[in-house]
Amino acid sequence: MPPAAPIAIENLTKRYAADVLAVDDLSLSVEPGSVFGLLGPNGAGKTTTMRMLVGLIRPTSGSIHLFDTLVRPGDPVLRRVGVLVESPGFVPHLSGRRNLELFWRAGGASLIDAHLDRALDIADLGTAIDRKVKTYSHGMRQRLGLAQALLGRPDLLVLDEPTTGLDPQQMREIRTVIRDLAADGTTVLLSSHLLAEVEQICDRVAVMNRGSLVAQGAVSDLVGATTTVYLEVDDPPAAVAVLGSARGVRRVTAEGRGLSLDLDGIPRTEVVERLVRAGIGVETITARHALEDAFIGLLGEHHR
Amino acid sequence: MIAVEFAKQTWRLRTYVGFSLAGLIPVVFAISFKANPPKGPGHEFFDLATGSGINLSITALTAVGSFLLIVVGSLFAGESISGEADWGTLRYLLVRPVNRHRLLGAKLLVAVVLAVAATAFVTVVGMLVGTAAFGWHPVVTPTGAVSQGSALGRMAVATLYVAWCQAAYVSFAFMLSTMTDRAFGAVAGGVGLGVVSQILNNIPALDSTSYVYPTHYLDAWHSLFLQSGQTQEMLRGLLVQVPYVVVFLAVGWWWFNRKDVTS
Repeated sequence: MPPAAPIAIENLTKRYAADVLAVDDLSLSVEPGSVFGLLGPNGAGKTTTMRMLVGLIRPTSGSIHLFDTLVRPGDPVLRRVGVLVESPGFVPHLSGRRNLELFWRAGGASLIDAHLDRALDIADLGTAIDRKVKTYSHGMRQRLGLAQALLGRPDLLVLDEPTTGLDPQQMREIRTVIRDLAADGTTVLLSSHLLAEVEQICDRVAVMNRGSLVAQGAVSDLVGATTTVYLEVDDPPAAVAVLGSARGVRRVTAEGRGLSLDLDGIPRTEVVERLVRAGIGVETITARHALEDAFIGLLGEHHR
Repeated sequence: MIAVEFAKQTWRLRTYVGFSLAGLIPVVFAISFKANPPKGPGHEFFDLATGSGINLSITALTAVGSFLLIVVGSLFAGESISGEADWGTLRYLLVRPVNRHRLLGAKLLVAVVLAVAATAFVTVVGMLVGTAAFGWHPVVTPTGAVSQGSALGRMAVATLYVAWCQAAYVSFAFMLSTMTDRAFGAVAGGVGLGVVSQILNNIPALDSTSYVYPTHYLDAWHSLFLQSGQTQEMLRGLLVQVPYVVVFLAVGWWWFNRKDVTS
């Protein structure tokens, strides 16, 4: 028998008023040990989906199973789930450490099972962990929120925009933490409106817009084999001539002072090398986020 | 869960403020009565406040019951659930997961314990500062005197009675607390109910309906210290709270268990 799917969502719908469909007939499933991205613009229904997933709000129709258990508000299966939904929330007049302890004990479990030290390592707050939470910066709260979600080594992590408001260094750290957890067998569902983030850390992605699923699949499939590169050179017409006939370059389009290339298998370094060998100076070269193009394309299709 | 709630709710500014206000009243009374004693023998407990330490306690308990305890009780109850929503911790408690019934039960218990403790604080501080100011004598009442030993037991009953008289607006504030994310609104609602009850109770034209107001029997415990010893009014005072408590708590429970938690 295959292991139970950490998340199986079927025909999930949440209707707020008669004409407000927050989530519209969403179905998806998440495999054990994978990092699954929920991608979409603000208001796409990602947070509403996550709230239903953990029993905070009730679906209008459809079902959610976590590890083969139909989720109801306060369901015991949630003990296996670590959650960071929207922003982290803490009791302001207590220290970070005390907050985590009380949070854990509220569930009636012993602190020994919390693996508090491991979570605190990841939060990496140093001595600030014993300061009142109301003195924390946004980034510190976010890290403490992630640590809280990791208490008790959950089998499934549900993280809503985990890197919001962090600086690039902190973002990178948190992404590394998430990848490491997945490597250890933790399943992660994370939402994001940042394409680069999803591209970097997710195995599979579901793109949502206006409450419904626009596309779903492996990140590599959605991105496709081609990568798009933007170049600025000192002699664009010459560059078009050099690259237009080159192997491994599918398409060359002049764009103002620069040009846009669809590469098919050759590395960017080789493109630069060829141009330089032909005596053309390369000022900048930028990789376009392919998922971004896919994303915008998918949303565009959906609007029509 | 209950221990966790006490750990979160007890050592915080809100609780300090509530208890400070409650403790301040008897102190202020003791000082002002000491400086400016009531003139001549009176027939109300206010006029007898300087008779003994326990007399001052009686006066203070009478005074706080009609307004200050409404505010303090509503503060503890109105902030219970909405305060968590305000901090953004409610959703994390519910996905921990903590069963919603248990959460409500723990929250209500903590609010009730704090409200009763605040009432008892008035009584105890009143006795301490009263004894310091006016001595440890038998209680002087409009109909005679009650020995200290007997009076202590009666004060304990009186304290519990006054605490129970807050039940209607504590329940109301608690109900509102499950509905709003704004703690202030729930607290104000509880205070509002108490104040409206007081106002309606004081309109002579509405005398025929006064037996339904939760604050109408607030001072009925004075009979504990009177010769007549009529306890009928106190019994009514206990019973008048019951329908309010049942309805408000039932609605609060029902609401919270169906609620979509988005805060």
